[in-house]
Amino acid sequence: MLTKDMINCRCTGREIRPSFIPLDDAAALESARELLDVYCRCKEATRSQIEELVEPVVMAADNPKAAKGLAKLTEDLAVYSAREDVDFTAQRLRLFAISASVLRHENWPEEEEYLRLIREQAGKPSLLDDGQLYADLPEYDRLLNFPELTPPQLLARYNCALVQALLFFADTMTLTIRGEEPARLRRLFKYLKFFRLLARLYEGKCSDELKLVIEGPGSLFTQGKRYGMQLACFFPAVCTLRQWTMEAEVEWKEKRRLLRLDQTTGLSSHYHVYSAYVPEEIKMFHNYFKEKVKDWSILEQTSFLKGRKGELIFPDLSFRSPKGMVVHLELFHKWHARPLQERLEFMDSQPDFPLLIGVDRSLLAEAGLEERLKATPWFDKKGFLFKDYPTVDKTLRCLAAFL
Amino acid sequence: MKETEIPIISFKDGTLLVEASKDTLLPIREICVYDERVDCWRAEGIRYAELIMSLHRQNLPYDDQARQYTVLSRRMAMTHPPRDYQAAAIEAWEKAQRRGIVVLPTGTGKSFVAQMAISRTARSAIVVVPTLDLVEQWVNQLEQAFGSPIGVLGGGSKDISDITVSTYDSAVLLMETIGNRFGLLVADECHHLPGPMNQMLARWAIAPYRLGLSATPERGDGTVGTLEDLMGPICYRRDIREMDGRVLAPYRTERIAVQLDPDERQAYDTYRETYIAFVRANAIDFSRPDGWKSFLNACVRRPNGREAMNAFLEQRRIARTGRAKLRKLWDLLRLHNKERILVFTADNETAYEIGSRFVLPVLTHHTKLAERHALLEGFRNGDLPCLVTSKVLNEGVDVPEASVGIVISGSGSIREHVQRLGRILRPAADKQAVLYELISFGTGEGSVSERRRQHSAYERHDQL
Repeated sequence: MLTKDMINCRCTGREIRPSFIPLDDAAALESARELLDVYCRCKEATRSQIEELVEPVVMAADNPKAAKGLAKLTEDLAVYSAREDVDFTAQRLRLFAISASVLRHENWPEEEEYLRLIREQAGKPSLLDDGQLYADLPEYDRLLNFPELTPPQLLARYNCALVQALLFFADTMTLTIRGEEPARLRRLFKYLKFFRLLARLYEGKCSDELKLVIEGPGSLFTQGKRYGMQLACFFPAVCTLRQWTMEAEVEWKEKRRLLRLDQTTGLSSHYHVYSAYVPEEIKMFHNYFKEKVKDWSILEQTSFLKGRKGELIFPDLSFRSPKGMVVHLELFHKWHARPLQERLEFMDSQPDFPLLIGVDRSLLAEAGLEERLKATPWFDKKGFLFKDYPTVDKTLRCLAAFL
Repeated sequence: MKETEIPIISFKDGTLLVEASKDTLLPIREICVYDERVDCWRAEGIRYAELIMSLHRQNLPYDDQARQYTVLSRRMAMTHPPRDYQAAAIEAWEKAQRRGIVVLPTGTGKSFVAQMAISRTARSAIVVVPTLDLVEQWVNQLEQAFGSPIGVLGGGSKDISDITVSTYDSAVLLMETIGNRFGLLVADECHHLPGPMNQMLARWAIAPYRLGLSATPERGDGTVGTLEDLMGPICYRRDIREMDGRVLAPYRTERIAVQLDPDERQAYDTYRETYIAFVRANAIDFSRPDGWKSFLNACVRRPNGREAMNAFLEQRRIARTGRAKLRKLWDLLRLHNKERILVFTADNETAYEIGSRFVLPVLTHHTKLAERHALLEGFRNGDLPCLVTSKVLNEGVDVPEASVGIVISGSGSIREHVQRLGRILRPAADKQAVLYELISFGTGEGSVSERRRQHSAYERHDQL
């Protein structure tokens, strides 16, 4: 993350605009290349040695402030390790015991004599030999690892980090998403949950538009940057979307400014992008369902449903009945034990909700789940067990409950 | 929801969620805000006691799923009766409905007051402290007092017990999820609490009972009001002047001015001139709250800014660590070579410079836990007569054996200086404490020293 003094931005009227570096900016690419070279070529160098090599790169850059930011990001990516070849603590404690005994001499020595006595008693080798007494401080840590990164990738990270640094001073983010596929939306909401943020959902101007007002749970009570860090961490997930507009009120130099960005800025995310990859099993299910079933149709796209307490449900498959009713199927695999518990509670409270539940048999190993399912009255009709992937026949039997 | 229905109160992300209909007539309307995002009423964790009391007063039923703290079965083993002021402090806190701040000078046994509060409240308790050294100290004291293991949050540990000690940093990170597990919140050195992030730990906690401890609750930035909102009013206060010689060791403070060596003087004057000329040219006023910020901004923007910044740092370094100061330090170590000495510096760099030069142990935030423990133990038992530190010993750490403090350099903060003095004032038989302050004569250190001595602790004890 960039610190406040590294933020390059301009204020025009009420708006604040990050000063992004174009990804083809030759001078910036050169700075990025030089910085990456330092880290890639200096494995085993100490942190202070690397700092010494980085400083001239920053000072020589056309834009030292941006270069300082690039240097901070590279340093954040570096993995250092402390020296382990010497037990500094033990050796130091031994030396301090010696210095303490010399300090207690009745005939107080002069400083030179004092140091000579300590060296004499410490013998050789000792940490005093080359001024190594405190050589395990962080500045002496050695570079262990640095990820593979190209200069344009570093510039892209910088641009994203610039927005993140500004969002640190925001309390709310308004996000408008257009025409997004459910897989990406599901991922976005997972990030939202992961960073303990909440969203108010509004329908957009068009049918495929969705508006989210994103804040922290306690934003109702206090304004300020309390959730700024979480919003900043969430932002790269926004950059994985295809069409988006983000607005945030930023407290900058004692004024509230509007930060407004969209996908045309070309910002990219270093978070994993899960595109609309469709597993082979789903394709096969679709094909087989279309071949075998005539009255129900299987939908190509599955939207999300609103659950209780603001939760969103992302079903795996959706079906339309002959009368036009849409019913969804949500599958719970062996790593979904907790979400399954939550969904069972939700369905207990709303048994008429148009949702079928498929439970992987491996989940039955969870304590008490088998009994729970047996004791759940609606599960008999609207739920089923499967191994690896559900069959069309089982799905159809449950869909029949809606006819 | 009808009035006869029972609201369900739960704890989520540092807040209280109350399941009741939007048009409820229950008193939760006055305390909570309806949160459309989750279709529930919501309040900050800190309002738990108020919410429960309001329902309780009207004899309204509720389902409290938020409270996860327990009744303590263990009681404090009182090894000695409380001193008169400690007893008065705990009574004052009781009178304030067990929500309040006790202000006592360093070394007068504030932690004993907290132990009594934990024992009287008899609810799961969390004690938040600023440093890892204080965590260790509190854990030792509480284990002795309550006779069973104490939970620790911080320094890599995430062990929660019915009495837990945490750093402020760890509590800020974790309180959103564990804020319902404690009925009593004790904030040691509670003047740290009003900071924008630290205050969240007190807001996220539901603890109905709260005790703040500090020698110096006023931060000079008008945040005492916030502190009182979070912990309750100042319910008891005693001044350092009322304690000297009775429960604190008698002490004197001595300021020693040293002359810079001629080459250092010349370098100092040159750098100082460059720095001052830059400050004047850019009309920077350090008496204004944003003076320092203006200087930094000017250093970034102006062509000669880098030179000015370098000049500022160099003149400060020379004043802080001139050779004459280190010679004087050596003289003082000789003068007090039968005593336990703490050497304070303004920064880690100076601390390590002194440690390396004189082969002395240095304690900073970089010091690993095992070594930290060994150094403090060695100092307490007399194996190590001298410790050099920058800031980590400023607060709270109990080193009663220390009788000499030597301030090589420091900030203009009154709080820091009073806290440093407090480190050597723990009472011991025949102890006469002395705090030396070394000042480079004719440098900016003179005015910095004047600023930090604006406290009653220095009124009767100064020698120059």
